[in-house]
Amino acid sequence: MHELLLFASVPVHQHHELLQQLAGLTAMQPRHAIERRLIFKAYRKPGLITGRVGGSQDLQQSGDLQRVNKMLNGSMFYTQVVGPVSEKELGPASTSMSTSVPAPDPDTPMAGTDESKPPAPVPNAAVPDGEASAYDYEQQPWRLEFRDIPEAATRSAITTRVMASAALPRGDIVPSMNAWGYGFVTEYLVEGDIFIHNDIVIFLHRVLHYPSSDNEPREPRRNLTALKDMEPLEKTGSYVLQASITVQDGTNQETMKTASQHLFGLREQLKSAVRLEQADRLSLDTRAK
Amino acid sequence: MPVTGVYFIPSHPNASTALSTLTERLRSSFTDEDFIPLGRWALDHKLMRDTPGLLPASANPGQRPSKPRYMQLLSLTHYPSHGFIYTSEPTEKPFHPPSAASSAPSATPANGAVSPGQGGPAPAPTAAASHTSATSQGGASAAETQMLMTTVPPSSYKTLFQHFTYACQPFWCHRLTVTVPNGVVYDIGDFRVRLGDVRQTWPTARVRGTIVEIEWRGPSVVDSLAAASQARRSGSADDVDSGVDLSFSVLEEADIDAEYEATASLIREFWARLGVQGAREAILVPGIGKEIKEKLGRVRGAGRDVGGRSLKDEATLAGLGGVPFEDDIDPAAGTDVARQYMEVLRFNR
Amino acid sequence: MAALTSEEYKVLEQSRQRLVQLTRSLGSLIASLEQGDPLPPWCAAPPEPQPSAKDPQITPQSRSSLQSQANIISNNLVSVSEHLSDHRDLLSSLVAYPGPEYPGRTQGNILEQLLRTKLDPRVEDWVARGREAGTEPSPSALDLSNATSNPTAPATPAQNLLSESELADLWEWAPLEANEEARRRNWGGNFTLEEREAGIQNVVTGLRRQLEDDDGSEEEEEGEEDEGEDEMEIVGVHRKSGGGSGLEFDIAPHHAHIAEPVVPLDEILRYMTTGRMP
Repeated sequence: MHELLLFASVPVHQHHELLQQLAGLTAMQPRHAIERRLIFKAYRKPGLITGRVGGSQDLQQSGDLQRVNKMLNGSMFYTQVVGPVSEKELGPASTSMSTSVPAPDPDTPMAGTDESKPPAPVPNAAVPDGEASAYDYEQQPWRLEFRDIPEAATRSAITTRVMASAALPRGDIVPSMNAWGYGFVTEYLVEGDIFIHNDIVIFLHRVLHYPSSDNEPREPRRNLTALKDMEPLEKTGSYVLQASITVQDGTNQETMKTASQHLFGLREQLKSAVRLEQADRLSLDTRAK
Repeated sequence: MPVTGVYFIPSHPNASTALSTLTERLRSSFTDEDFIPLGRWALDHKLMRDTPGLLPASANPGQRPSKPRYMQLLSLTHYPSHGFIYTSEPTEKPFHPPSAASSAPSATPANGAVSPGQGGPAPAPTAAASHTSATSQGGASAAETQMLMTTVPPSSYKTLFQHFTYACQPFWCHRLTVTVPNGVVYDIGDFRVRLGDVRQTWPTARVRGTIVEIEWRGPSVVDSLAAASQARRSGSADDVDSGVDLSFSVLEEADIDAEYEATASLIREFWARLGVQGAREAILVPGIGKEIKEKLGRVRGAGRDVGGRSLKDEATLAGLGGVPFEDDIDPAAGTDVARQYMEVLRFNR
Repeated sequence: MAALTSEEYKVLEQSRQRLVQLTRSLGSLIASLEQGDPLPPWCAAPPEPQPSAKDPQITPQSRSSLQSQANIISNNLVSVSEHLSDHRDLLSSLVAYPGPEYPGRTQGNILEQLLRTKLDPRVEDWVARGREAGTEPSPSALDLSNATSNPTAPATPAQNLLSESELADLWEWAPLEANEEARRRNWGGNFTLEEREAGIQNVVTGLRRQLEDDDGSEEEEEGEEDEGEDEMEIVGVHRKSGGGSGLEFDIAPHHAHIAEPVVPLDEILRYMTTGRMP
């Protein structure tokens, strides 16, 4: 499968307005989405590369060996394991103010509140006792979401990359990922709104961090933190607008062209509001060095 | 999850297989009333090996030959709700702290214990006996399990295989694909028998032999325990649950082991009646019964806490352009027989 | 055991034909889904006002819509099901057995299929799933019946869908009920009571200007009444500074100051991809 994408950075003060504009454009209400995203990185046994290079020079004759050597030098990748969570599972919603707390409140910019924030609470403390919707890690559904580095085509002004998406079993996915050759790196939360415009999925989102603690956990969290205690990666609270089309058969030039045209069409429609652009290829480089 | 046994009769690439002999002996050994053809079944199995392990030992003179690691993907038509992925446990626990991701190579604190001079894979002191032997010891304890079973939705089976061949070349190398395209299922008394020729389709097409799965369909604690926990997972009525708890809470793991042993002898007896020589047997393979014991543990230990926990709502990941989640009512179904198939299909090319 | 009459043969032949029809239409739907590029349209396009012979791309005949194909399949299913139930007595009393001239050696597979007494395990699963879907009340139907507790159109929990007459009832009932509900409310003001109770700052008005909560008499705690009572405040518009006449409009009155993102998009994407902190 292939994925075609355009991106735009959306300052926090424009977020509300853009939501309304997108709702108008797509004729649908935004669908709120919160996702846990776990980043995994392929690992290789240490020392293998050095051990191999010296000894292999005189053994290149065998085609099989050559193939193995080529494979050993092949790319390795970062890949994501993504699971949807509901706001309820994150912890109790604040009762006093708004219901969706990190929604940009322009009168109190995120940057200000962040600095004045008291020390972050222990994640466990956010989980209420006896709450019916308490988070159950064992029941968390997951998907493996793989993205290759974007293709290096210069002629097109659109980010194009190979993708794969596969459902995984629920619960603790780390043992399987480890056995398959992936090690856990870190995790974050993505919070945003989804619109569907014909074949385009529009996702207006931002990255949220768990409240920082001294020791970064070495495995995915089993408890979540209330949304209001999460900290945006971008301190001003800005959003990323991502417009994407998935193409089943990326070798079909015709469908790829059609998809690009649709994305360009959307770029034109949103021109007055945001500037959708191709992303810097290296910023989406999933290769693990 | 019924108790099963799997037999494999290898054959030479160009010779005929044992299938016709087997079918004939089955027919002659049992009366017609007992012998009911049921339909067809099929199997697909892909064997992957760790790529570094494929280098000849001479390529790295100073290095101890590492234990081969395998990844096996199996799909059975009689367990259509998921595919099975069985992977050798990693010898070290990988962890990449985000800070190290920027600069440091793959050497991380977690595996830094390996002496760099040797340059070999971690010698993993926990590594016990290799599981490549086709013998069937009575070792069904989870502690000895060195391969990890994962079940994935059918749609993920192919996608994940493609992912491993595309993105994991430095550590996974596709070695073989074998299929049973046209197996036959019979009900014979208390047994259900699945027969079929195993054909290798990749890298070259050839016949590998004949495979036979013998499933005990008579009364079995293991089977009813599996069924009961499945009913619980699908969220059935509470009174059913409590009844189940009472009857199974008295079971011990030893009872499960005994059940497997007893049924294994029934299956062996059945197989012996056919008088076929040269078969490799997989019944009490390592790791068998793991899921059943876990279920038992949950039934016994959890008490009221487990009852009728509803699965999380289905959800869609639109943010990454994904497709909806599928729900597998009983992800553990068929893991025992999958282990047995994989045991005999772990060919050395 | 009597031989079949010609009438009974006909019934069997009819069953066969109907099943053939059904498999054909299913096959063609599958084929058009798998091979159609682009996918077949959801529903048939309205008839062209003047069918232009110039445009060779428009060939409505060759590309039937998904809905029309679904219709055909549904009709086929109905006819199969009617036929099977009409001739239930005959069909359930028939027993198949191979004649002496049947090529049992060469066509053994078909024979096995014909002589099956149980369903294929896969088919069994389908049947079980179908039964389950048919008997279980769907949660949404239950919710619906709870939410609209009205006497004229009771949604029976055992049914997933409302019947035609229930739908008609619902349509008949809804406008009246809505009207009554509307009358029960005290109209006027910019916010409903619920909205005020939940806090008016949460209400998404879709408007750029701030709506005043003008129901000040009951809203002591709002604290905005002092200015609200005597003098209407006009938000987003104020007299031109500098003493001149005329008004000045705020472009975006919401935002006291504009916070531009400090982390560039590239860095955010890089973090999302590899976890590397900007």
